[in-house]
Amino acid sequence: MTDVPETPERPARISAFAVFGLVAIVAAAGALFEMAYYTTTPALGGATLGTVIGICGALIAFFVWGLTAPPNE
Amino acid sequence: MSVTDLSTSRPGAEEHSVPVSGRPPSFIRFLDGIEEAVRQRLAKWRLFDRIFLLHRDWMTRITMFMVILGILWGAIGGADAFSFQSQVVAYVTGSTLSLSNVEIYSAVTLHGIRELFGFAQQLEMAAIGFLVIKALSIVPRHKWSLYASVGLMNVSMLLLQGPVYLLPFNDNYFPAVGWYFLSPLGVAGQSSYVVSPLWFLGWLALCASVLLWAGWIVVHLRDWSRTKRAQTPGRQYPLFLWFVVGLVVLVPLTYGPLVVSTVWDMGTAYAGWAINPIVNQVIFWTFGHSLVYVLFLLPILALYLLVPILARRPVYSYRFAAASAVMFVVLTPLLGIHHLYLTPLPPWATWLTMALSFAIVLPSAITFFSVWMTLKGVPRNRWEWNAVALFTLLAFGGAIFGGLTGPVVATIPWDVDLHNSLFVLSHFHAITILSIVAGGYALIYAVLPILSGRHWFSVALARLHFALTAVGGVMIVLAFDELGDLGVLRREVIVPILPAITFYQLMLFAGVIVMLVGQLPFVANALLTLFRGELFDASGLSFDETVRRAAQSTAPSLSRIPIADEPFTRRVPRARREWTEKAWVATVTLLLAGALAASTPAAFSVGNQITGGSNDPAGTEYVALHGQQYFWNANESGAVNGSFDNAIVAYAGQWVQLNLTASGATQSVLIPFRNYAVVDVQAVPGSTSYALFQAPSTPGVYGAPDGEYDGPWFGQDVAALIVLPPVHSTPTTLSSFESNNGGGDIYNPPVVSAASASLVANGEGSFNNSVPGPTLTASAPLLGGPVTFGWTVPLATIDQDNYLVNATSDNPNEQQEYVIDHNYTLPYSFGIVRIDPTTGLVPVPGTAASLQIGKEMTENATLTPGVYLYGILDPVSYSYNPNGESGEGTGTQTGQVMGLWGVLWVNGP
Repeated sequence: MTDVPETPERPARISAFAVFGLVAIVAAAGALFEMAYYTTTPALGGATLGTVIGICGALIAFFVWGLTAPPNE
Repeated sequence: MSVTDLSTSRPGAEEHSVPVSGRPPSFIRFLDGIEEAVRQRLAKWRLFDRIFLLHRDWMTRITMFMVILGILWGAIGGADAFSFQSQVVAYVTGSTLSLSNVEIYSAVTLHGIRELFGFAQQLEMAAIGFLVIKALSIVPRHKWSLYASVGLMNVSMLLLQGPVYLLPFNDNYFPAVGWYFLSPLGVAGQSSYVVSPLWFLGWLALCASVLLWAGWIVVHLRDWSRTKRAQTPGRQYPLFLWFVVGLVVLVPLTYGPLVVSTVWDMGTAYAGWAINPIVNQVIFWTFGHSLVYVLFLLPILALYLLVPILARRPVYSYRFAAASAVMFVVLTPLLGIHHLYLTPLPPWATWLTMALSFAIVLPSAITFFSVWMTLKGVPRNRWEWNAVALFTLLAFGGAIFGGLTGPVVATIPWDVDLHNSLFVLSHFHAITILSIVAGGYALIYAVLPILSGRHWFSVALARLHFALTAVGGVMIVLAFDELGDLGVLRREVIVPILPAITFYQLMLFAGVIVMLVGQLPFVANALLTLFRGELFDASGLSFDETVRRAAQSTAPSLSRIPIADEPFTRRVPRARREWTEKAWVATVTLLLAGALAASTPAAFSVGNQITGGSNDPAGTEYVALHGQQYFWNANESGAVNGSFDNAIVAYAGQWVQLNLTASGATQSVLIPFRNYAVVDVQAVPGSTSYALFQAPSTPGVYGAPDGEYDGPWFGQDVAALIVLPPVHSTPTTLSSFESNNGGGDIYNPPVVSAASASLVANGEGSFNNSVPGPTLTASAPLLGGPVTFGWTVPLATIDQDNYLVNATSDNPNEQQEYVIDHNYTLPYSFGIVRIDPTTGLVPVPGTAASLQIGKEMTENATLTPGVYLYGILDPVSYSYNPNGESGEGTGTQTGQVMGLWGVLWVNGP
């Protein structure tokens, strides 16, 4: 193993917090994409609306609380 | 500081906590002697020494052994997935299937068994056992208990794959029951498809293995508690320990029920015990669902362990993280019934399970939030994107992706549409591949250098491995989703051949290949590491520093950062951080309560219908539908009267009440409407289920596949809902049915003109790759007129996989020779019968004749307008018994199968 400088020569462009947040957005978008088909079928709209709204609301809350929370310091 | 709070874990500090023990028993000394002799002999060969780390301590050796065996089973399980998907691709592209139906469905079964247990469960045991010993600086003991656990695990994998005849070679006794074997499928005396007793012994060996391992962990945790822990009273437990303790609590709650259901099945098969399939299934699913969380705790533990180590700061909220571990353990064993929503269980039980299934979102929500918040404030130049960090990121994203579709399948009214479709596999593989496997790899990249004493050899191979695993996994998950959206059933090799299905099936196959190829860089890197990796020195390092150093050998050199622990002083008080956590948990709780309230009326409606609590409208058609494992027998009364095999007959717009029973296996009536409410109800032997639905207003033939896998002839097990035009009216053309493509239902058979039809049987014993065969249309005057269509069953389609000729030899040409010896004639009546709504089926005179093979046949009849059935309209008895090998010891495969039939629709003038 080579010696490692105190500060990396090529540090990450964005923080790990931002990357994990972006991946959470992509993952949530993927899950919503998967659900989207079923919300359009005529037999399902009413019965599943609560679950869809709940999931969407949780996603919004996840980012609102996450972005406004104090840092881990 | 060391964020895992393991200040006692510096290497070299291990020797002082050895539990006092006397001289081992003579038997153990005997085993030790043998082991040492074998080790010394094998260690002379560099290949064995390096791969199996024979020069290291026994704990390292066993862990490495488990890792190698786990990867081996993972590779074989991957080959199983490749085998199955290659056959589906062959089917949708019009190629000949190269595997028998037992081999195809056993590939699915063994894919699940090998990946879930041989690979994932074994690797979890290896990783957590090693972490507990190393991170807590415990001196390992009870070597032979751990060896026994490893031995039982791998013996169970061999037992579960069933007997194989080597001379003459015959591997058709592999189990084809699905990785979850819903009793009574496979149970002797109860089912047409019977597995070998080795199957049940394999499950028991598996249970013994995992329970023994859990006991081994408990002993070491007790050692730690009595020695190290006692030296630092009042100090917080290491966070990952909450999940280790949770795991050892969950293991008996998971594998215990499996012992019960397996012993019950064995008692039924071999001692004549009474069976109650639905109770047995509830017990089995207590295991089946808990297993997912036993394995899911691996990436959760990896996130809570590795993210703080990589970020050099403690988890955001220790108390919330620990609470999530407790919630996972408390809720997990209570969710099994959500796999049985469509069976006749009490509606309150299914509703309660739905509520608890929503509740388990909470610990997952806490975990995702806590892990993300742990990173808030970490400077860019204090984070290194090595392979451990990349796979941790994938596990985090995959758990969110798969986790968010969890409430979807847990919502009862939604499950009616999704149950047993490939959507479920999309959810499941998001969790398994993108989260469990990813979390496992994060741990392996962190642990292998510690195990082997060598740095990872190649950064590029590690990053290639990550990229291909992520891309392959996402392709698989998305392809499963699209196929599920289209309505394709899980475990189905005989799928409707439509352009969209072919496209996504090819995408799925490509994803499987990318995923499998993507593991080669890992294997190559691991081997190069063992043989050519630089020496890894952890002396003087804390546990966290050791992990960072191990991970660093997979990071590009220019982006590496120092591995040393750094001082960390809390500036944000706990109360402020926990206030946010509380707000997040309160928000999720309110949203879950709202979703539960919104779904409750529909959930009870579904449950009440299945248990017979709905009121029948006037004019309802009553259908007593009995599932005979591979076909349905319908006895109807109402506007339509009669007995039909594989057909439900009703008038357009008429209400239909199904009373469902079954024998041989749990089955399901699935009518996958797209423009109407889907009908999906399971019939469990020993119980009665009910379904009330309104037949479509458009007359036509609607496919009704059995939605529950029920044995090797699952693909041929498709019935038809035949919707007649209104009473006393003459059938008109099916043009309106065709114009909206049967409402978009993919399982509806294609509609073709009888005059131009060219019905050709395939190797699976169906016409034109469709079960039922194409719906033929013709026109006739009211007093009758000639109707003609052609069909053929090519000799080349007759083989061991075709139910039309029984297999009594291992000679692959025997079936064709039998046909030739019998003058190309089989003793099954092929003809036309008329559906008479007042009496049932009425044979059309002059049309019944023995089935001719290898000849171009023309069916001629004078018919009046009406709806008819054509083909072989009685189930064909099949028995697989080459050289008399089939029996209790090997398993048996019998059954009555229908596939070579369809509907003939004769319009009026």
